[in-house]
Amino acid sequence: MVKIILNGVATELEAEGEMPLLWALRDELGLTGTKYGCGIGACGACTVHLDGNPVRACLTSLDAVDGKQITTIEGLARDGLHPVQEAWIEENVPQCGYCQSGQIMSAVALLKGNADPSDADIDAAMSGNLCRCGTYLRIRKAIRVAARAMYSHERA
Amino acid sequence: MNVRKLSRRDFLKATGASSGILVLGVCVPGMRSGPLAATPSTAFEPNVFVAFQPDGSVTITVSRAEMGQGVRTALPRIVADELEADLARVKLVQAVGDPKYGDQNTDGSQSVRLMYTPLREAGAAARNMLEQAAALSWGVPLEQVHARHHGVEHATTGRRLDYAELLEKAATLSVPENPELKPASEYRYIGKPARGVDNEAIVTGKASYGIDVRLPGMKYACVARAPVFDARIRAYKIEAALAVPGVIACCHIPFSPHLRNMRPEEGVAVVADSSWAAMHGRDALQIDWDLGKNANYNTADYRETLKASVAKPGKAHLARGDASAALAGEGILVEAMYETPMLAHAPMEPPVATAWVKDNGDCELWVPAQDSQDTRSQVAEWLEIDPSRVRVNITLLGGGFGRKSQIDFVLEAVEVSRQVKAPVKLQWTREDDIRNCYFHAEAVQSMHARLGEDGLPSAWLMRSAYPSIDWLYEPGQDEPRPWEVGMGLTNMPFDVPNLSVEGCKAPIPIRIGWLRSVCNVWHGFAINSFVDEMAEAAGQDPAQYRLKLLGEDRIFPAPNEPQPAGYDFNGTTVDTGRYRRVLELALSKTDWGKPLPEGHFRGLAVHNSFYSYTATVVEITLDDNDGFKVISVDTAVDCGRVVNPEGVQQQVEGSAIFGLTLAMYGELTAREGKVEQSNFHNYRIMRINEAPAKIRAHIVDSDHPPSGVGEPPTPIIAPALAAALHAASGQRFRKLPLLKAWQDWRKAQG
Repeated sequence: MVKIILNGVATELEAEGEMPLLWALRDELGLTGTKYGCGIGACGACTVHLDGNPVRACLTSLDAVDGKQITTIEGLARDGLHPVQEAWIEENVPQCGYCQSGQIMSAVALLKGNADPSDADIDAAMSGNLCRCGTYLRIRKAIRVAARAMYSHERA
Repeated sequence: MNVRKLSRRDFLKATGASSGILVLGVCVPGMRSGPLAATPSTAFEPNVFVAFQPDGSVTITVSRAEMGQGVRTALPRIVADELEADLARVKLVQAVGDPKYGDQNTDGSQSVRLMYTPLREAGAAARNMLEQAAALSWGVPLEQVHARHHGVEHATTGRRLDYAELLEKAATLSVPENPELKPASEYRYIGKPARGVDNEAIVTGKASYGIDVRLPGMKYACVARAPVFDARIRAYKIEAALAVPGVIACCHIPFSPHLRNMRPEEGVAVVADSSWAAMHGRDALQIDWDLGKNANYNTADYRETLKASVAKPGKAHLARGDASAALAGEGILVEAMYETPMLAHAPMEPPVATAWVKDNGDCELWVPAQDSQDTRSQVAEWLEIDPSRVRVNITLLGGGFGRKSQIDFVLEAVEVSRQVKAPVKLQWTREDDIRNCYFHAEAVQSMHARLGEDGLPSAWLMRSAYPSIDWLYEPGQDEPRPWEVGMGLTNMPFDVPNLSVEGCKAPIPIRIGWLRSVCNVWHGFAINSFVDEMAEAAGQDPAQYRLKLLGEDRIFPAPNEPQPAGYDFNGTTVDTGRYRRVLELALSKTDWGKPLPEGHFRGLAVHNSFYSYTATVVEITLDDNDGFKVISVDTAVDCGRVVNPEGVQQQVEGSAIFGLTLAMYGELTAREGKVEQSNFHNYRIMRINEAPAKIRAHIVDSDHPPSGVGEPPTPIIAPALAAALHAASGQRFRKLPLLKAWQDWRKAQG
C-alpha cells in the first residue's frame, strides 16, 4: 500500500512498490496526462512534480514517493488555467501536443524560482524535454510570456 | 504511393439522417473511456461532413488524422467558411474509417491540397440549401438572400433567419450537384491565422492520444518481436513470463506471409493487468529465434553494396539528349557521391493500439493510425471478416511522420484481443519503436556533370540506389520506382540538354517505409549539394548559379511525381517560375551576398516537392569544441493558397527542427540484422538548447491551388547546412549525419 498526496488529494494505491510512478498514474489511477516517451528519463514526457520538484515519473518508483506530494498536469491549476498553460495557448505552442504536459511541468518548475529566465536558463531547464514536432522556439517564447504574467506585480 | 479512387460525387451525396457519424472522445469531456456514443439525431445533414443539430449548432467531421500537422484546425475552417458558420456554434467530430469520406490516408502532405475543393463544396452545398430554404420561407427570389454568420438575410427588408430556423425546410431540399462557391475575396476563415483547436485539451492533459485509451475490462500487452526482419520463432517458453505478478497470458503473433507487409513480425505477446507488468513479463520470455537470411545485414557492407550499384548504369527514368556522350566530352568534370543513412521516425508517442474483438466477431479499434480506412481493410483481412464489421476510431496521434501509416502494431493488438477475448491495449516501448521501425532507407547517389563554357552542365548523370517502398505491395521489388525518383529527381526544374536520371538496384534487408518527405530527403540533399559543387567548379555564386541553371521560366508536367488517382488536382506540374521566386524571396529576406559577422557562415537550398516550392538559408557559427551551432533558418515557401498561415508557420518551424535533427544527428546502423540503437540516448533528437535562435517562415502570397506543407520544408535543411559547413571550411560534406562528419574532419585537421 502506497500513500501519496496526488494533486492535493490523499490517495492510497494498491500496487507493487517497484512500479514506476508513470504507469501507476496512467494505468492504476487513470491520470493519462502524464505521457510515456522513452522509459529511461531521456525525453521528459513523463515529467511530474515530486514535493514541488520536477522528476521523471518513468524512473521514479512508487516506493520512492510514499508519503510525498505529487503534482501532475491535471493538478496544475485548481481553477481555470495556470499562467504557463495560458501562455502555451496564447503562443500556439503545441503541434501534436504529446510532449507538452511534460514541457509545461518543467516550465512551471523553472518559473517557481526564476521570475525572469534568460535564454540560458530556459535551455538548461528545458533541455531534458524532447519535442519531435520541433516546437522549441515557441516554448522559449511562451515561458517568457508566462514569466511576465506570473511576476508582473513584482516588477510594477 | 498508397492511392485510391475517389469521385467528387462521393463527397456530395446526401446520406440521410443518422448516417452513423460518431463522436470520438479526442477532446470531448466525458468521452475518454468506454465505447463511443452516437451523436444526437441530426436535423439537417446534407453530406458526410456537415450535420446540423436542432439547436442550429453544426458538427463538422474531420476525415483525416491529426498528428500535429493541424488538419483538425485547418479542414473544418474550409467547411465553415463556405458554410458561413459561426465557429462558436461548430463542433468537431473525428471520422471513423469509412469509404464514404473518400480517401482518408493522412500522408503525402495532401490533406488540405486534396480536401480543399471537396470541403468547400460540402460547406457551400449546405449554405446553398439554407439560402434556398430562407427564400422559400419568405417567398422571395433566391438571388435576394445571402447567408451570413450562421443565418440567412434578406437585404431589402432587413429580415434574418438563424440557421436553426431553416433546418427543417432545408432538409427537404435536394442537394445541389454543383454548389455555388464563394469568391476568395469573401473568405472569412480561409487565409486567416488560427491557433490549434485542441490546444486547451493538450495543455491540461485532457487530450486523448492512442496511449490514453481506457476501456472497461481492458488488458495491457507488450510484444517480443523478431529482432531481425522476418526472423522466425523456433521455440519459446512462457513460464517465467507468466510468473511475473500481473501477467495474465501469453499469445503467439503468427508469421503471416500471405498478407502484404503491413503485417506484424512474428512474436510473442505478454498480456497483463498493467503496462508495466506486460513489459516485465515480456522481458522474462525465452525465445529461440531463427534469424534467417537478413542476419547478414550490416550497414557498412550494405553501404558498399549501394556504392557498387551506382557504379553501374541503372534503369533510366528520364533521359534527354545523350548524357554519356556529352559526359565524355570537353569541359570541367564534376563528380560526387552522396550517402544518407537509415532513420527512424521516433514520434514521441510510440506505436500503440487498442483493439476489441467482440464476442460476435466484430472488431472495434481506438488507434493513432494515419490511414483509418486502410486500417479497417487490413484488420478485416486479418480477421477474415467483412470490413463493415470493423470500426476504426482515430485518436489524436502523438506524432506520426509516416510511422503510423504502417499498422503492424494495430494488427498485433487485434490478434491479441482475438486470442484473449477482451479489449487489449498493446504498447510499444521506445526500444521497440527504434528497432522495429519501418525505416527510412539508406541511400547512395552518384552525380556526374560536364560543364560547358558558361559553367552550366552540358551533361548531367544522376544515379540513385535505395530499396523501394513498393516492396510493401509488390514483393521482389529491388530498385527505385518511378514515383520514388519522381520525388526530387525526375521532377527537378533545371534545364540540362543531356540528362540521365537512373534508379539503381538495392536489396531490402530490413523493413522500410515512409518518413516525412520520403525520397525528397536524399534527393534534395544530393541535387542541392551537387549544384553547389558545380557552381564552385564554375567559380560562381550558388544562388546566381541556380538562377542561371533554371533558364527561362517554364511549366512542364511533373514526371512521375506521385498523385492520388481520381483527384482533379490541377497542380501536377513543375513551375520553374515559382521555384525561382521562392529562391529569390529567401535571398532577399536574408540579404544574401552581403557580408556576415565574423565567424558566421551560411548555405542555401531549394526544392520542389508535393507540388510546393521551398528555399532556405541556414546560418551557423563554429564553436570551440569542434562543433557548430545553427543560428537561424529562413525558409521561403510557396504552397499555393494558404488555409491557415499560422499552421504553415508551425510546419516550417517543425520541419526545420526535424530537418536539423536528421542532418546533424540522424543515423541508425545494423549489425547482423539488428538495429544497434534503441532509445534517445543513442538515437539523438535535437533538444531545445541545440535549436536555432530564429526560424523564420516567408510565405508566398499565392492563389495557386493549395499544395503540401507538412513535408516540403524538410528536405532543404540538410543540404543548406552542408553548404554552410562548406562555407566555413572549404570542405564538402557529402555524407549524413553532418555533425559526426564535421567532427571527424576537424579532428583530422588536428
